[in-house]
Amino acid sequence: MKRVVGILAVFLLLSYLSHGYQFYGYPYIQKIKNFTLINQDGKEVSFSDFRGKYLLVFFGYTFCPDVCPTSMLRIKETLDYLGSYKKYVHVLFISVDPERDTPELLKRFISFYDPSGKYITGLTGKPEEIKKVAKMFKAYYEKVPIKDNPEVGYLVDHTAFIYLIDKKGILRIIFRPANDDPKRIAQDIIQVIKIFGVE
Amino acid sequence: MGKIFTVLLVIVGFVYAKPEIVIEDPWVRAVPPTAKNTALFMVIKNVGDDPDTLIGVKTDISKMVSIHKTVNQNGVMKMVHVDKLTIPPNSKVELKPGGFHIMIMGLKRGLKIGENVKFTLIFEKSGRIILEAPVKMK
Repeated sequence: MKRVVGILAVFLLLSYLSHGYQFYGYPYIQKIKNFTLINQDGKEVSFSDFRGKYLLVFFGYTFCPDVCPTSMLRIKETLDYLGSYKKYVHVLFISVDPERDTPELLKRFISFYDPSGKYITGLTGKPEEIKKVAKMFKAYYEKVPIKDNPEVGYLVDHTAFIYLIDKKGILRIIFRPANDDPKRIAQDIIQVIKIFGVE
Repeated sequence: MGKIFTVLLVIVGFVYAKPEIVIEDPWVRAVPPTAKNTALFMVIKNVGDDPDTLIGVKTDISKMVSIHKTVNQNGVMKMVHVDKLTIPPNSKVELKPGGFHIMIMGLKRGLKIGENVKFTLIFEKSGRIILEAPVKMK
């Protein structure tokens, strides 16, 4: 009951602050604790390094055949719809397959969706670190072996939500895979930026 | 006499009912050059009056091809292997992102946007259908 009231409060607060704007994604409030992982250049980066930016966070892996390429394309299209707001937004692609996703692989993967190299950061790290981060986002993933195929070895089943985090590191909106219209995701992002402002 | 005629009709119908498979809008998803996996999508139409079943797919560009379905189970996106895909008569099955797709695993080379990739679809009744699918970023 407490939880329901909490969720209702989140809805009412956001809707009040946005003058009745109907959010496409699922409004949420959760402070994300700091974490440190390895970026596509092999350097340690912390979540707090991105303070001041609005973040889109996605958990995936570079071997992913269907779901991640779809989501990454939608994210790319979303960035394009942001127009002048694009500069306030950054994307974190966090690998749920850290054993195979080296920084080099991540770099080539993200540059496919962001040739400028400015808007997307790929993150990998020790499996136990990734596990902790995923848990905080309530993201779930699990290796699924493929029979008779040593080349591919395994796939990873995983949740495919896109999380919108505000400039102070607070999770504000969750987009489910069914909510993948880039235009409407961009509208939500702009709305959230308007509410919480820019630095 | 009428009875015999009906029986004959049924037999004739049985012999002559056949599937007719038409492939529309095939495309292969462009993936980053490092990616080892991608997928083929298309609409498989059966304009005939008998069902047919896709039982296999072949291509030279990868080590393995199989029919898969992406399933959203309580928010977790799972890949489910499908042995075969039946196309009922006078209907179609859409292979699209987030649903049925032909999974291409273990790419032997990178694919360029715009290039055409050759596939052979094997149907139970219609046999082999060869198609060329362009690589698209969509």
